[in-house]
Amino acid sequence: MELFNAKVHYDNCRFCWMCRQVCTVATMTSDESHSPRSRGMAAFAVEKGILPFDEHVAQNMYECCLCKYCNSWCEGDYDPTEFIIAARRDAVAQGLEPAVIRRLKDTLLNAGNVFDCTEKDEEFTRLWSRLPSRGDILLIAGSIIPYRAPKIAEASLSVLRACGVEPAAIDETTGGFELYCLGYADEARRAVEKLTAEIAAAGAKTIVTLDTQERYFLSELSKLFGLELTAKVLHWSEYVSSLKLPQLKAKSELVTYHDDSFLARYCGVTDAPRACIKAVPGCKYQDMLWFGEEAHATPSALFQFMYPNIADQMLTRRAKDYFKTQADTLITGAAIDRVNMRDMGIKAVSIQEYLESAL
Amino acid sequence: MPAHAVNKINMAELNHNYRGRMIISELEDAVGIQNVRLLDVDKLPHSVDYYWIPRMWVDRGKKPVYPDCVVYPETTEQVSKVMRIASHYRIPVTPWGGGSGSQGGALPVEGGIVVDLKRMNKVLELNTKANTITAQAGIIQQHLEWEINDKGYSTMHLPASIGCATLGGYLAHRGTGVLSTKYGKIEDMIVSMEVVLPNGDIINTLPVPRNAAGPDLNQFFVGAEGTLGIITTATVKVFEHPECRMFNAFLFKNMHDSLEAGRLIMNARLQPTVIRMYDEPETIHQIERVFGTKLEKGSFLVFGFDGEKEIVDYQMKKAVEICEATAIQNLGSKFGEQWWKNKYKFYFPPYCLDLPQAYGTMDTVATYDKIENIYWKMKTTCEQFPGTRFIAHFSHWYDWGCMMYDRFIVDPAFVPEDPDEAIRLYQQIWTECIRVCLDNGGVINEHHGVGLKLGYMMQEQYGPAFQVLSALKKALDPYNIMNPGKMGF
Repeated sequence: MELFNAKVHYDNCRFCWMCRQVCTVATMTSDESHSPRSRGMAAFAVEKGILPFDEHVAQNMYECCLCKYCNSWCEGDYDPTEFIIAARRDAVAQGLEPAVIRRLKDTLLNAGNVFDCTEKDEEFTRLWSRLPSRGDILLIAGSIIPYRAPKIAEASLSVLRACGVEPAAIDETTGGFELYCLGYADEARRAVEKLTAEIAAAGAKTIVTLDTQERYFLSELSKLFGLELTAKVLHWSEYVSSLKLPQLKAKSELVTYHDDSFLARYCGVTDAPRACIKAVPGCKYQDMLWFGEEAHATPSALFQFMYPNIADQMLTRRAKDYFKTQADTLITGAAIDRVNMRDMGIKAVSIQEYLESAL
Repeated sequence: MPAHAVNKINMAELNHNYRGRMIISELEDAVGIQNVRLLDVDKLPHSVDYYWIPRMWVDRGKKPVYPDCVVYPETTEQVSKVMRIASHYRIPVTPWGGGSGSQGGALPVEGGIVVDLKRMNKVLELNTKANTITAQAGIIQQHLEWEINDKGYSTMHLPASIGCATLGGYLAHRGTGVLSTKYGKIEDMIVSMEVVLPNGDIINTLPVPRNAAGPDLNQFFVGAEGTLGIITTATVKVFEHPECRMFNAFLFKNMHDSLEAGRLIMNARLQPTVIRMYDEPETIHQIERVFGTKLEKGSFLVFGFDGEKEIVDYQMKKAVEICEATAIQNLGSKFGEQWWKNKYKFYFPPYCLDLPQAYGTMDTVATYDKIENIYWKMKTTCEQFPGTRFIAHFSHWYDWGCMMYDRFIVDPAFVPEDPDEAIRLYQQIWTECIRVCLDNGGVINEHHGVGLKLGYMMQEQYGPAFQVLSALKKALDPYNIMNPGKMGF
């Protein structure tokens, strides 16, 4: 089983409780079997033949939001997501994945996104089709923005142009990383291979991702998929914070920023978004109580479709963190957070939209 | 052997037994279908706690003792309903908080129902006039802390298990935290509590902990490890954040000198927040390893004070003077701060003790005139076992004595692969060391509790006095359904 390749992680997690208080799902559900310790013990028990690897163990391994809070909290740097994703691959190989996961796979293979949208937003398509398909700087819009938040693409482009950058873009549709997270390794690899070939054909030196999930998986292609990209991968905030910005309009509102799991915990990028925000003259910035790598996790779009009740609780908790700051606006790095927080009635903007509003 | 046998329904045959299925339906009616678990993937994590024996058992590929089902009540009334069902059918009930105890206290060794309290995790009231907080007992202590920290308060109960253990769990086994020397153990922090008795009745202790209205009911249930009932709600003290907290560390030539320095600080009534002193082997094994700093051979001692700065400055000055009289090196405040920052790091892998070693924490407490002798007697006894070493630190200090957090570690090469043989060796070490401790004025435990691990030593420790505890147990739980196999019951 692939699970056993992640033995170092579950061996060290199986009897360790030290991250329980930060485990997002275990905190939401208060369910003992959702703690990293319990999942590690289940993995070990499977190895020893104490537990059969059945649909119940598989289900348990899917009930994780992959926020990596456990890993970032761990003094030993052990990572439960390593054995959880391995177990998901085994579940897929043995046909043990829950029905909701199979449906999501079909959606991802069909549409390339979790929303089951086969058409991208018209505004987005119009904007993207005007960009060259080759260039030094290549924008990757990801799997949320073209369907749910096209304004972020527009804002991204406006700011870059104001800085004198004329990027290229490709009309990528993948779902590869989501498939990877669900344990569909072969399907994920095929999807990502196609994307990688398109990126390579664009001849870019720097890939700028507008969303955060892509910042992670494109940087880790080699580890995750055995693929290589020669171009450097940066999140939009990292790239823009390295540019000379034009004179920006002053803003006086109090703002805060939500560090999403992919950018903060997976990539360790926490300064660049703040640098972008603080570049706005007059900006009053207040971090939430839980920020950076310790920010309370919000659900990925994928997890929202997997376990919507837990995802709702995660969002509610983060919204409470936001309200405690008394900030006027919540700025997000991940597009899905901007979408979800707006759905909750919060004034949320992406980092790109915030900077664009100061142009 | 249990004091009296449980006459229980054989729920283990649940899947083949319609009566068992009917009882499960009653439990589902009591707590909701979504709060009853019957799958092995849910039972497994409730069958292993921090105790070495079940961990080793699983490590050797052996199936641990599963509960027959796990329930997650959300209210006291639901706990009461579960207890009435269990009492009626005489089914064993094991309360489960974080399951992070090291004594096997939460293990469902006779099967039955595990009552996992973690869904009873609400903060009910922060009373800033009385400086108390009332919360459901299943709240994880760190969550309770975080809830009140940004309001300017702390429970000051900060054990290494803070992230995983629950408020009820600490009360059930008389837990203690790193700041206990000033703020007390959990039994000093309890104000009042609500308890569900084995028959399902819900009772409350008196609203204040100091009175002359008879024996203290709080202290019947604190430390009873769920053998007398289930703590469902507790009111404990809270403290405003101190203006400052300062630390200083010293290195002494040996443990005798550092122990004496700690005693003098306590005798001077300087009220340190914490004193922690490590013997020479643990100074090397833990301090150097975790800090990544090479120290001279010796015994490491760190102390801290908190409160108003002016007072803390004075306390620090006096404590430094005491230590400087005999220490070989003043490591300064930076080293002390580093210790404070890393205080939980010792318990993460790879820094913590773990299999394939055999290990155990035999923490004890004794008066100052006896504690050093107990250390040497236990060390000598322990190290007679091949491949076994003994390390200790002294964590919780009182006016009259201090607690010794002593551990034995058996090198993997000397731990039998056969689990039965491993248990035999393990029990021999425990029995001989604890007996030496008792014979020289110590007690079987200071803050980890008794549980399954030390239950068999309770009669030996208490002698005829154990009949008082047994009578109390029999009166409240005549069928021994509450956490059977623990505390010597």
